[in-house]
Amino acid sequence: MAKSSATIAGVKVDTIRLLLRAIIFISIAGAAVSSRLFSVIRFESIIHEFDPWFNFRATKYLVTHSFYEFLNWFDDRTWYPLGRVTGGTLYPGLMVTSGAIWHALRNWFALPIDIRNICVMLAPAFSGLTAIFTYLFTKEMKDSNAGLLAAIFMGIAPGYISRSVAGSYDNEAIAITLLMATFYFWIKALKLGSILYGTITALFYFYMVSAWGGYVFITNLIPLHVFVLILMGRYTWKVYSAYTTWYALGTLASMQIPFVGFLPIRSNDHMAAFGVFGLVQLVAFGDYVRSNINTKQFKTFLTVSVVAVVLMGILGLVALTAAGLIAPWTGRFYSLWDTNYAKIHIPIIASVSEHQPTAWPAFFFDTSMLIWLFPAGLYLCFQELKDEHVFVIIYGVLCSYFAGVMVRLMLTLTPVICVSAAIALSKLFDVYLNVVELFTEEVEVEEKSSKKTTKQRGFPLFSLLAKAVVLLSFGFYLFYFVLHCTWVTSNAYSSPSVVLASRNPDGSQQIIDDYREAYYWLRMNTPEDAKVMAWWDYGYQIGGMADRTTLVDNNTWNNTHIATVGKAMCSSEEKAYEILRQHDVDYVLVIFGGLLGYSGDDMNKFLWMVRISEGIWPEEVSERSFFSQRGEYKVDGEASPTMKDSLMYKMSYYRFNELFGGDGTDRVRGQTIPAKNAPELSTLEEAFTSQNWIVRIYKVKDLDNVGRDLKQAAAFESGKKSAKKRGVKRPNLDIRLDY
Amino acid sequence: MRSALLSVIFGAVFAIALVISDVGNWENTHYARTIDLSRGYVKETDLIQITNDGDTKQKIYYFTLNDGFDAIDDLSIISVGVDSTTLAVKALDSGFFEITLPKAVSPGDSVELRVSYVYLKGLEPVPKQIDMADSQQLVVKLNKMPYSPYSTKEYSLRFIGVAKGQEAEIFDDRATANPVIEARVEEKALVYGPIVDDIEPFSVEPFGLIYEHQQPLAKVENLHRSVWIPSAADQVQFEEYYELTNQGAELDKGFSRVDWMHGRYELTRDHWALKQLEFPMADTDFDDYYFTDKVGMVSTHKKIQNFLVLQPRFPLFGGWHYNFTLGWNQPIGKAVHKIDEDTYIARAPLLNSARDVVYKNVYLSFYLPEGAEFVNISAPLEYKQVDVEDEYSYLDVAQGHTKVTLKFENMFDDLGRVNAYIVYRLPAHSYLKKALKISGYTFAALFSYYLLTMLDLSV
Repeated sequence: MAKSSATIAGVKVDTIRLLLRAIIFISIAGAAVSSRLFSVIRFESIIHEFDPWFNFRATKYLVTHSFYEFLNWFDDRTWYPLGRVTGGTLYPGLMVTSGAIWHALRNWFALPIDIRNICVMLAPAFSGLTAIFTYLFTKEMKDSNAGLLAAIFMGIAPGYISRSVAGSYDNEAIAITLLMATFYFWIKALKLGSILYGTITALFYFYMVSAWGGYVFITNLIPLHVFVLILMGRYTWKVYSAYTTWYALGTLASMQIPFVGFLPIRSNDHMAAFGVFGLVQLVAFGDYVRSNINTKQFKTFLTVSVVAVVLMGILGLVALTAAGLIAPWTGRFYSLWDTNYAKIHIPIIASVSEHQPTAWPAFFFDTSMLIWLFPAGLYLCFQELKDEHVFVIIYGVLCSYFAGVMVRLMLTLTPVICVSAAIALSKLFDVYLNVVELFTEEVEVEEKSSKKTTKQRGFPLFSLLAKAVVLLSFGFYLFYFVLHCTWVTSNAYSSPSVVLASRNPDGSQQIIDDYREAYYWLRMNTPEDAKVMAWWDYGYQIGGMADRTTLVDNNTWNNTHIATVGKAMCSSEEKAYEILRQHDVDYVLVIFGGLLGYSGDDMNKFLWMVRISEGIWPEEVSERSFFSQRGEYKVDGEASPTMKDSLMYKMSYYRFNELFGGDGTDRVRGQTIPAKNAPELSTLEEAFTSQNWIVRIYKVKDLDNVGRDLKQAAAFESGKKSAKKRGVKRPNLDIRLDY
Repeated sequence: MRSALLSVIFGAVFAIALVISDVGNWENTHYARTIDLSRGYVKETDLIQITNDGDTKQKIYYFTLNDGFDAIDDLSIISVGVDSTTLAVKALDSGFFEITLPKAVSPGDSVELRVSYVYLKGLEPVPKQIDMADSQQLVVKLNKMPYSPYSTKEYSLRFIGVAKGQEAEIFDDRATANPVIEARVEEKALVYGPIVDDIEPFSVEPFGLIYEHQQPLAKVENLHRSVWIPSAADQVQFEEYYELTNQGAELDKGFSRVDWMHGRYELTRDHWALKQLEFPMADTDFDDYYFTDKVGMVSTHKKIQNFLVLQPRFPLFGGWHYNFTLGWNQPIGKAVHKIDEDTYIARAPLLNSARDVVYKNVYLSFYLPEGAEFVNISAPLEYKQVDVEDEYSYLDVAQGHTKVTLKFENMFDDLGRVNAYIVYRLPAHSYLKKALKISGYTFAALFSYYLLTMLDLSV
């Protein structure tokens, strides 16, 4: 370590170090931002995927209306005819952040930037901040060298990039930054026992609560940390002041978010924090008692009070839960412990690909070499095992488990992997880069043994060589890591999914823009109050791009409504027509990839629609009847009659074989669609089909004459009654803590 | 500039012609009408030989559109010429156009007038809804007779740009008794007459001509065209926002992609769906142009030979809409000239002249450089209104850009050759002022940060 007074060429080493650090930070931020811009450069500044379209739409609402209007926003353009209390069921942090940036740039800096560009660029900008907070956090664990390594890892690790590329305007985009900030300030508060830092932690916690449902992770991790510290006998006044400050302020603040409301004192997810808060008081009291009485008395006191407190706690929890004062655990919570829970009880959660358990290659894919440095880092933490190291260990262990259960939780694991890998790697570099010591040690050895040996040990060739080999190999690993990250980002995480790209034979890029073509057609050429029915995946996109009313969307708050849409899709035309009429549907939209070979289409999601509606109407919909005789999922000649009769099948393959002038070929499922008995539609009319047939829109026909009108009206009444009879109890879905 | 010299008059409202008490004594010795139906609007050119029928020299001639039964609406321009000179035309409330001849005409002498006018509303698809494979038929409603305050001696009516035509009778109680006029085909044109007969003043014989027209009737309801003049850079920025629609025939059922692909309509020029817009690059090079709509960039655009071809996301059938934005840069040298010390004149065409498109409302906005003072604006066409306001843009720290907007109505593609001119004053130091202001603010921010770091906030 250089001394502070040392100079190089007349400049203080400290100054050089500061300069270097600033340059490194700027480069890290630059690397973090620029590696997220692939999609903007390749395509355009566009919002990606599904959920970001809702966030984008909400942000537009926020900047065109007042803040209070935004909080009271009742959206009648989704979930028709129910509507959605959007203002009270979203986490406003993301929208408020971009809204504030928009206003600040516009009013203070005279830079009127399109809100879309702010939304697109928000995630990369925040990733730069994440790198800085990761640096600070890791610095608390080891030193600034490890911090810089962690920052660069965090900047380019694909596990984090997957949710923060430009255009991925999702809650996670800012939540990870806030997560790291909260943790950093928590460690700081714990180390110093400072109320100021405790308050800052609470502030960032509040910001986190306002931004992402994953705040529950912090709500449980910090109490767990404190709990473990107490168990380890490491309770000090510092723990007390840091935790109580954070808990009291943080909880009060978090209750200001409309969507959270009274959850912190009612929901089981938050009980751990509350319990530890109580425990800390008791421990503090015990500490006080101990300092005033002798050891023997204290032991008795301790035993009695521990038993009493545990019993009271458990009884109280059970009683409150039974009395309904505390909300029971949510379904998503159960699926964290039992990966099959969702599949059996809540198909709608299981149907989302990001809720599936993680496949093991994903760990390597998303973190490359960091995944094997991660245990090494944890081991080093165990070796030192200060209070803050306990935190990293708990964080690492918990998140490893969660990331294994759900793909999307890979995101929360990535920061701790980066931190711990950085600790390991910087330790390694500390040891192996220290060439100076090698020489000084050698000199000492020589002085002692100079009398006996001759001068042959002048140059430590082999030690140097050994160090060089290790350093070079790790240099290569690091180089390869950067290569891997860039490759993954470029190939896996930079597709907007709204726009598809393919290559022409000559190598030039061809854009397949069917989604926007169809959505824009809806926007331009249908009445403004038209209701569009589509599977819920496309709800946010239709709301965002086509600006039309939808029946269901990605905020899957009402399972029955989704099941209704599923039922309409999987029942016969006549039955579906009734449902369509009941819900005032004007257009039905399906995604069909059969012509292009686009596998993410509705026919491949069809079984989920069947399963979800079967959950509600088991006597009307049966999954088995959609399989062929031999129990296969077929769409060709062997397809079951129910399948061929279903609205989804008909809409997907309507006039499809005419394109081939005979039997058609479905390129996704690799099956032949026979020209014989081609699907015909009588209650729907094809309204629009996009260029590559990916989006097909059908118009629901009006009742054809007055005579049938009355008959149909009567059928409506009976239809409503029969829909209420349900044989199987539905899963009881609570308010979701997600999105 | 020929077009700049055109004297043009707008007139959208046509009252039933009130007879002006004294229209003078004229006689239309020859009256030849030519109606061009090759585009999505109606262009009529009349050659009228007028003879002074009175006893005194006359200088004023009154012209009326050949209407008489409210068939003409959305008149775009009317221009009148004698030989090669263009005359001033004054629109009167009564629907008459007062033409002042270059010199008075003695009794018995004659002079030949060339009147041409364009109107946008007059074409309609019949039937309104057809199959994708059918051909589109349009009907144009016209007065078969000359509608003039004076009697006509010899008359002919000629249609060009019509492939197949068919007459349709229209009954209207304003019709008058008229001589019979026969039709024949001559050199790819449909010709009525000429007949030599006494045609009474204000004769009306409504008739419709149904003809095949395999081109879309592209109409832009609103065009917002903005021209950003920079203070220091060397590129003028243009941005246009179109609200495009097709007024042609509608589909009788939903749009079927199979039929569209089988018919190969995408490739043929001869189909009435609006598939693409062609912008000639004669005057503009479209340097770094962009083509976007409300959901982002559109990738289907190309420069082909001398045209910039934009393809909407979907083909437009009758009644379908498509809104989009087109923007590009242009070297400043073509658009802005210095008049003196600190006064500049800038010009911009009224339209972008995409082929065969008509425009209902056109808003042409000039954004002057920040700190510029608006002096004057002029356009050879009469504009409905002019607005001057301020608009804040990037790093505008003072009062913002001055925005001057002209509103035009009822335009068609050929008017893209007409320029509007704006004069403004921009003191040389105003550019520096902005740069200094911005750097001043930045410096103040940095310096205050420095001062803040001097404070000792440790508790």
